[in-house]
Amino acid sequence: MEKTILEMEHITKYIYDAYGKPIRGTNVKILSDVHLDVREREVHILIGENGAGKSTLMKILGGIIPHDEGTVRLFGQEVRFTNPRQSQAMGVGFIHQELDLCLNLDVAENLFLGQEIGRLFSDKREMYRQSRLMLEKLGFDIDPRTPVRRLSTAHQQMVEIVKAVSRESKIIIMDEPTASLTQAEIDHLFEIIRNLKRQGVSIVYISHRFEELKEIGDRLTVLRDGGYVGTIDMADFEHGKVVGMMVGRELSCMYHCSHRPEAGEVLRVEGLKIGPDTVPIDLTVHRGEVVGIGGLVGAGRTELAKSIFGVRRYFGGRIFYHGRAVAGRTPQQWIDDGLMYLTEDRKIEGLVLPMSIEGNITLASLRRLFPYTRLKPRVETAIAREMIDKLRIVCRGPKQAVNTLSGGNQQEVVLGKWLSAKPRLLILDEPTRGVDVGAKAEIYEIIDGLAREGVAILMISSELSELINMSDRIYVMRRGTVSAEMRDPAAFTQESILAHTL
Amino acid sequence: MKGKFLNPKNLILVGLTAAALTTAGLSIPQFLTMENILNVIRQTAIVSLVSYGSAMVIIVRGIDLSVGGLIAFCAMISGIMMKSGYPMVLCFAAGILCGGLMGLFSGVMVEKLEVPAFITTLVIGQVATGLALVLGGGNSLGGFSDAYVFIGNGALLGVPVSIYITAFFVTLSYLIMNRTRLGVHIYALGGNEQVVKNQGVSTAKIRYFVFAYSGVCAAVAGILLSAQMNTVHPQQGGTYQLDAVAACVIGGVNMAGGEGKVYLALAGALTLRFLRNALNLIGLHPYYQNLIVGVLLILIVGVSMYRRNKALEKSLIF
Repeated sequence: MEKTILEMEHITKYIYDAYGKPIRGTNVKILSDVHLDVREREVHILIGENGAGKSTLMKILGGIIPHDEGTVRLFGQEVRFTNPRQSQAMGVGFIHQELDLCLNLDVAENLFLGQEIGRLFSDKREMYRQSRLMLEKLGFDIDPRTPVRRLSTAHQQMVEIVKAVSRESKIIIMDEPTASLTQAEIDHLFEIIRNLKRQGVSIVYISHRFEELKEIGDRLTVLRDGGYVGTIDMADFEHGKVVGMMVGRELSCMYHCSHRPEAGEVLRVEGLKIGPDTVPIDLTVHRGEVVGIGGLVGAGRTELAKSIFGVRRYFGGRIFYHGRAVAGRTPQQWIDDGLMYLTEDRKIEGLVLPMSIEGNITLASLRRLFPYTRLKPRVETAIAREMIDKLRIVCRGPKQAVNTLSGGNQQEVVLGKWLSAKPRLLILDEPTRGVDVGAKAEIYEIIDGLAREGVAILMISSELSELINMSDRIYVMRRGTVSAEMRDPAAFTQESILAHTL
Repeated sequence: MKGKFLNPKNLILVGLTAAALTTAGLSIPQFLTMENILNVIRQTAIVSLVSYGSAMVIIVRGIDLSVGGLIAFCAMISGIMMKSGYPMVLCFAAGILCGGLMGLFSGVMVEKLEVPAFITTLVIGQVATGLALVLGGGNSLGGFSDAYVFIGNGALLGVPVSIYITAFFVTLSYLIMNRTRLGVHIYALGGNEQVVKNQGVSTAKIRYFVFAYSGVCAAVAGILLSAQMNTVHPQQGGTYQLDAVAACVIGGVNMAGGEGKVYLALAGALTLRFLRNALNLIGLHPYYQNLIVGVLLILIVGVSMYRRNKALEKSLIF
């Protein structure tokens, strides 16, 4: 057996802000007592649902954020990285989930960023030469002088791979590297990974695509809700077992699905083009219906929602609301008319973080509540209390600032904001992203309850189990358009949805 | 590289500039006289010196609004020291050091306390102006040595000394931005700060350098300006504040950060000074000149941001 080169034990990390600093006044853990060991020449799969803590664990290994408790031993030496350069020096390479390139620089400048050749003046010619060699060696046909901005997403991903590989890393973290690659490109990547293994490099590989994992993985570690579930050999891989480990509790108590779609059509979209050259989209949502929208990140799901909601321009097509054609509506007009959009990123687009719970909850209904401009604090507090009780938001009271809440409770505050504005159609964009299992179940219950009251729900989600178990119908999106409509809930499976995403 | 520089967009710009200069030369008799051109070049030296630093700050997604104050304050420091009989080189060094330190302070505020650059530098600029007024007792300082005046108005081998100074700084800035790792890091910081952090590069060092460099540039500009006028006026920075930013914008530095060439800021400064000069010669009051420069600036920024947003929209790939 190959020797173990990385051991992470009892890793615990408390919730932190955008700068990696712990948020005071909270003991919310995003990682709790997590283990990971990686052997030499191994592709170690790290798997878990969104918000399970995979990326956070890897950021600790990559030196981007330090861990709060536990030990990390790399090549037998105990380390606590506070800076990415330290982990790079120890041979850790990192291919990030979000693109980790400066779009305004060229390929070679990105490859050598932070490791430029030369003393006083950098030796550009040498860097271009070496970049060309590295790109050729891995079989990528990219000119190192091209500005990264001009490359396609797949090519940008390749540059990232070259960047991680070129720095003589001993362990390379790949966080969903295939999300934007075609099958041929994925095959190429796997070829590179096998080559790296032969050269003695270990890979920590994060992905959701089961087919891939079986092809490339040696062992697999499952995380759930920031905790460690277990590690298995890929030889023992069983689909149902791994899904069970990822999801944890019984599915039946996780999902509430008691609503029944009604006849009335709420929203109909005809021939909507979200990009100048995309295929038009047709879509309908009925009263009391939960309509799922699946697809990969970047397939245009959020753009579709924003086009409907009037925060983004679209390139042709018509929108009907309760049977009436509407055009050029602003978000304010939509909200007045009962169509609301819960955004994908609550911290950037959903909440005013330093503001109180009550301030956030009443934000979307101020016009309805106080038509004569003057605010009535007592009314605001009463509405916030009602929502806190209804949604079971764990907090000290309506005056608490939302940036001191856990992710799940923050999401419930955003939900509370829209619920208090009385929606008739609610577009939910990743409603359970970065939320723990308990809060997830509560959010599903809320969604189901809304549908039972007759509210139409359009739910964008990257979590297949959520789509499968909550939706009455599913639209799958690919390359800016709807690639499939699935009408029969009995036929919803991970495979059938994935088949339409690529 | 040749094809890159002579693209249609640049050709249009060069053509327009040439047309404007020819029109001005034909319609305004004094415009193309040697004396006038030298005059414009001397003024360009000041604006361009300030703009190199400003361009770097803009490239890291900041803005330096302290340069106006520093032009007066640093010149005042060195002027008072010269009047007290210290050697000229020492006086220059002191003035430049003050500029660098004030810039560095802005950099620390921006990096460590995350104060927006425009607030920090606006306040630092006010403090510098205040200090210039206090140190000079509210008065101008004049009657400097011949050597100092020579730096401002003299010529070596038929070329004004001011040109040597701005040439030195544009070369230095060019080398920093295009030949050193620091330069790449400056562009990278303006492009995507998180990427820089993920590479383990210290964003603090980059910011400290950029803001300090901008302070140094402003100090040199201030000292040179006083040499040209043989006077330190406590509010001499006035118009240069706007003109430095205008030079960057005309020179194509992207106000959203990450893109721009310092040597094009020199071209921007030249264009701007010729414009102001032409407006002067046709007898337009300086008040109107600021109005015109301001409108021009808004137009250029507006159009370039509009084009950028359009391009972003088009480049959306699903």
